[in-house]
Amino acid sequence: MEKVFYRTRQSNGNFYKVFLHLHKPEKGNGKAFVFLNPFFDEKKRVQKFYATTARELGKIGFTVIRFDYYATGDSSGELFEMDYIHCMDDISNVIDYLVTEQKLSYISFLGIRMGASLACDFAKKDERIKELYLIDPVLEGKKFLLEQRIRRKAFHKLNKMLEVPGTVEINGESYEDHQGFLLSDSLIENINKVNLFHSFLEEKKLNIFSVDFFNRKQLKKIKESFDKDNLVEYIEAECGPFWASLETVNTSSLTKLIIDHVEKF
Amino acid sequence: MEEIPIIISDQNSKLFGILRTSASCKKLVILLPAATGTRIGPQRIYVQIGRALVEENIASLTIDLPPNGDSYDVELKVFQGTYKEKLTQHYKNYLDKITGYLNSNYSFEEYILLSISVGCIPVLYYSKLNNFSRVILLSPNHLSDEVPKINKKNLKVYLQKVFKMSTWQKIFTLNLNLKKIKSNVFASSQKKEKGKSKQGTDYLLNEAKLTSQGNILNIFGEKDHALQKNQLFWQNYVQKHKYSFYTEKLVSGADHSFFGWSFKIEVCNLIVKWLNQENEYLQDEKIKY
Repeated sequence: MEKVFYRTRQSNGNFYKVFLHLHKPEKGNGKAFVFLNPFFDEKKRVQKFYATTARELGKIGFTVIRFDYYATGDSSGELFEMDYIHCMDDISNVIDYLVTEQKLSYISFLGIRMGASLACDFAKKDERIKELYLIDPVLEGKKFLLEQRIRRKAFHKLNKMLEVPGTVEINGESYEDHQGFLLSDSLIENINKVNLFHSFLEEKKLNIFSVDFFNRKQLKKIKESFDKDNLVEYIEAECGPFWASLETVNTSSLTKLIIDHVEKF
Repeated sequence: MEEIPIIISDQNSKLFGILRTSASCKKLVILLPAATGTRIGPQRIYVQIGRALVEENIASLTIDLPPNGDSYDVELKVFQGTYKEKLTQHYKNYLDKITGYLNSNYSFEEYILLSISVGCIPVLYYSKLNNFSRVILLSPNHLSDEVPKINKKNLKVYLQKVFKMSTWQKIFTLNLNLKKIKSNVFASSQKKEKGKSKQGTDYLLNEAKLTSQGNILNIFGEKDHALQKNQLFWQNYVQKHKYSFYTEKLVSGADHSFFGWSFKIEVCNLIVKWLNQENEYLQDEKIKY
């Protein structure tokens, strides 16, 4: 059964309406997955993979929740309102929903890129999260932002859009404009702080999947540095970095790898 | 404004979308993705357009085109004919379900279709077939009936595989299927066959018999690589099919997908302005960024 709905959370007297997509199995196994989106245009490119993987997990008894962070996707708010703190609050809102309304207590995260990094950051502070499935997590936020800026520059050069300013001002605030996605100073500051080398999770089962060839050495280093209790699995997948591709990429091999892994444990 | 998540389903398919409406909305704009897009549109432009329309008392529906996003249904390859014919049938199948659902559950007075890029031609055909009076096309491509000599999409996939270890293993063990690669990359050039009664061919031949009383709004980005070619195609197309009113707008500085905050705002404003006006023909106008 699939259900799509909005759930509103309140914070500091403001209301934030977040879009959720629930995949509920016919026969549940008492466990749930929360999928965490990557940022910006990567979200659109992973959506099909997320939908397919959620449906496959549903076939083996898992409840899955996918959602759009406030100010992204179909959630309320304007793009320039996207904020790291909102993302964390939205994740908390979803966990609360699973615990209080779906009565599920064994919760795992599946995240791609910045979604995987957010998963690590959130799970550090929340005991309810038991396991993490991370697909090419962003290891250093500074590097991620640099990539975005280089990509934007290349895009403008390729399209001869040399007069387009890199920043936009709205209500007196300045935002970096990444081809329509606006980054506030606060969001930039929080992304810059992301550094998984400095603080990786302990006492949580981590399953790291890599599809990005250029990331593999670093992810292997993560496993070696942090796997004190043999709780970190590292798996290489063949499908390639589909969040960066303009064409539709076949991700069925990655879905199968995840399902096989989930079933094994 | 109400944002209502909807699921349109039958035995073999599910389409996921969001209806944005209010009590005073009598018209509905259906925003349809391009072939590989999702319901939020490039850089969430469809969400922005949809919300701007509701403020003008015009409802909007954004909905994933299968197999992309959350929706699923029969795949493009089950349809017959050239790529253009297959795509047109694919969109028709999808739009039939959407309009069927809307007719059963809501009572909007008018449907206005909107699409982008390669979605535009199939959406225009559907509009004509169903006598919709207005269509909005963003960066409309033209689709040729001819099969290109080289399939660039497949070529790109094979070039990416050159960097994979598994490809070199196949080469060294003489397990590479060169025949398959050749047929996937080098398609023979073929023109549309006349007189053959394939479902897709019949569908497109009927287009010539359809009267075109509708109004079209085309919005192009000034920096779109194919701008001149597409503009020329559309101006000829509109003349040939005798459209009542054709409006063309150019967003200065924008690319094919209007990637940029101010470009998206400009596109929203152009659409709202056009929908609010009476049916009248407007001169070409360059919009300053």
